[in-house]
Amino acid sequence: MSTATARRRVVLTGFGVISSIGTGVEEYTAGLRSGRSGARPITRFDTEGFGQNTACEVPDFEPGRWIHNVPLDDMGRAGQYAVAAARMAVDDAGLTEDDLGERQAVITVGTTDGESHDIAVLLEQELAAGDPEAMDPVLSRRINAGRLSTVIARELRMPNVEATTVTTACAAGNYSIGYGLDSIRSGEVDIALCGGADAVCRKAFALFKRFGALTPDVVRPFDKDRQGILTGEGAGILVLESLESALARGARIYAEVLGYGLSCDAAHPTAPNRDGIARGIRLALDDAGVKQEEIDFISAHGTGTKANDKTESAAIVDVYGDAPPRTVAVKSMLGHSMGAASALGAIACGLAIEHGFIPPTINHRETDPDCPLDVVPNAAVEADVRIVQNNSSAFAGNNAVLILGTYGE
Amino acid sequence: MTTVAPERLSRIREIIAENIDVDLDGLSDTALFIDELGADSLKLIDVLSALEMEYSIVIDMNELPKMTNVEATYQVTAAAAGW
Amino acid sequence: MSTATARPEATLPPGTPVITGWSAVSPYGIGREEFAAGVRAGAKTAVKADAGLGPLPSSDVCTVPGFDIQEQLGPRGTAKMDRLTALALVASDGLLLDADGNRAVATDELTGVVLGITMGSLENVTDFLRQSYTNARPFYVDAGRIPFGSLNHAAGATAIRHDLKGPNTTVAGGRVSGLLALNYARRLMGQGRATKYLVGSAEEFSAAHAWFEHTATASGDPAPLLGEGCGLFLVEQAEAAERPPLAAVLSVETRVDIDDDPGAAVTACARRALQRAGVDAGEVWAAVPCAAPTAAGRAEHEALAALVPADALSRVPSMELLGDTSAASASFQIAAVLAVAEADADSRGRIALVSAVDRDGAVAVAVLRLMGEQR
Repeated sequence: MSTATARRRVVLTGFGVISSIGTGVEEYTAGLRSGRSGARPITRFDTEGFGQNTACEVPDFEPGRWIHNVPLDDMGRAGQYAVAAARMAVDDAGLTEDDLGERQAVITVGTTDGESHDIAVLLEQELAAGDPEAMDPVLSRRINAGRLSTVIARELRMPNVEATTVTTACAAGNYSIGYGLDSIRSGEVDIALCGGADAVCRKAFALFKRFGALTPDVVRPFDKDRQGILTGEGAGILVLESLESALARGARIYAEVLGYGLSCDAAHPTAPNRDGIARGIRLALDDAGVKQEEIDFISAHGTGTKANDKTESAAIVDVYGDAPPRTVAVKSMLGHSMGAASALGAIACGLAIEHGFIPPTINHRETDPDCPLDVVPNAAVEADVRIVQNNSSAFAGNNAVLILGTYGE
Repeated sequence: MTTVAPERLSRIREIIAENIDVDLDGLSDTALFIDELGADSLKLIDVLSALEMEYSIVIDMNELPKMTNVEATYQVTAAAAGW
Repeated sequence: MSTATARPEATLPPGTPVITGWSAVSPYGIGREEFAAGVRAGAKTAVKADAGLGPLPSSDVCTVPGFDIQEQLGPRGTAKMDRLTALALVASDGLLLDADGNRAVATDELTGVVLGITMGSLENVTDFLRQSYTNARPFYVDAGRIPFGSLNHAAGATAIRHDLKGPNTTVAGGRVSGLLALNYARRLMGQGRATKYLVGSAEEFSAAHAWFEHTATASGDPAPLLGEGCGLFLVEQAEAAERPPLAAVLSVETRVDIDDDPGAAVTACARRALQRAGVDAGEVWAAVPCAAPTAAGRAEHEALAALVPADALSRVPSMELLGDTSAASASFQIAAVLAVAEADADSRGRIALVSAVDRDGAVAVAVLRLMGEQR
């Protein structure tokens, strides 16, 4: 089924990053290389009574710096992150509004929670007044997840686009990038803006707290003493372009999107599944036409929960055997940015390829024997990085694995 | 070990049955939730949460592995509640 | 003897998706037959809302009659299930099983699932938050209900129920989501990731949804009559279909209305869809807009009226009879075309156009060629 050489090639020519460890490519790269932690006290909602107060919020976000065409009130924070990252990504790719204009394109944003913070505010308004008529129309109009994609089209003045919000929870970023890949491979479009966005909210925090999956201190993926996640936020948007289009305009190419795989566990609504993840990995490698030994490192889903890290390690070993590639968890730095996570992970992979380094798994003290991996603990390493795998798994048994490779230099 | 109060035990049995999806009548005090009744750790989290809300207490997640059956769950709850 | 080209499927471009089965759980009832009968009768579906729903902005609703989750799906695993998931699961049974409950459609790891939504179960999310805000501690929430609140839960539950391990996706786009889902399936099949697909979209009615819609309604617009349900299709590739095709999906086009001119966006989108389908506007036999109760919905209707033959717009009764079914809209629209076509011998070989407009600015149009046998 894989005909990698016969297919249209797709490359990454721009990145937009809003993250808790850096805004924009330069800061984000520096953050990844230095093993910066995005953990900080929560400001977004009242944490009274939760017994803990830490998340990975994006500091000092200035929407007006990036968003010029759409009224800021038309979006919640997740939408603002998505649009800002999209603007940054096209700027990074050297594409102007004139370049984009009426061009046919695909815009896909992945999300887990969308504007769940706005939903919470609406509920607060109802509860405070004892009356649903007290809810704010401005908020109620912007809470549907489809808006995260359409608002990018509005900001960039691109009407001739398919704007699809992919709501496959914490795998949505990879799903979106994969859909962009498929769209360009089809020949129907030459360009796609793909990624993910989410904003810190009470709902996510309470959810993971209730599941006992919130760490009381730091995120320690693959560590013997790991205790869970910190919720996070941000947006990662990637410009995917056909190779011909990128070369024709002399674009800087970060990396090539070699392939991806989707698998569904069809087993449990929330628990991670070893076979499902392994199948997703194999499908991705097959789609990319890449052999296992060519993978230089894996950017794991690596949430830092007991269940995920053990299950994911087992899947990696199932596929790769006793000497798997180095496997890192950027969630150790970013926390779990939900729908943005695998997009930010993919960008990290692209930057690793571009600059020749492997980002670290920070907060690491002792590797769990059940996770027999070299997690590149605590400090980034310089390395000749050619091909990288980016994992993601979500509730509802959705797995998506992406393979990026260096573009022929 | 706290002495078991019958009304509390009865209510705890109801909560457990509802959350691990088994018949109340068939639920013995000693049958193991995971090994014998087909529950998983996520269902036990549902039990823990329901107990917390019922008695307005906080049960440390680290106690979850101790909640192996009805009587063990009673003891975990009692300890958290200070009965 | 049909005057249309013999075996129209022979002239379809390779990779053209064909619809080979469908099911619906709708305000017309549970099942395809009920939906088809209701559509063909042009029946209204508005009823007085169940008192159990609590205070509502409007007492008229278009709910799926008599839809009780535990009655439909049994007691195991349903006590805390959200209505959206239940609607989708019952629709999936209608698609894959025969009347005796036996599997009638073969599936494997190359069978994909893609479901369109608006914002999933708003009832689940708001109940969760309500508990968090009002209970003694902010984490005193119903843990057992949490899994049902994931936006991708219904698609995942469908996979669990029918052991579907192929690509599984949920896309959000409100009224256009059924067409976004259809295009998603088309693309992934085109890339060989699946050989057949369950494609559809779903919306649940709830007080939470109703109050948010009421709040969002523009002043001057009437309180929306809201509907619910799930439309689901089996989609295969023309050259490899295992079942006779009911319709071929000649094109799916989408657009974003960036200038707040939905009429122009629909016109541009429809023209492109027709061009991509290789058919003239004058060939459209049935045109079904989403009939959204908004300015955009009215503009959509006007745009189509200016484009397609007059009787195309009256071929299928207005979708407003089902209420504003939000994410289920486009799927119900396609199903309605199939329902009308199966009772009309003249439909074979004819062109149908389905369009939808969504509050968030997306516009979508699909052009189908009807191919089915008549009942």
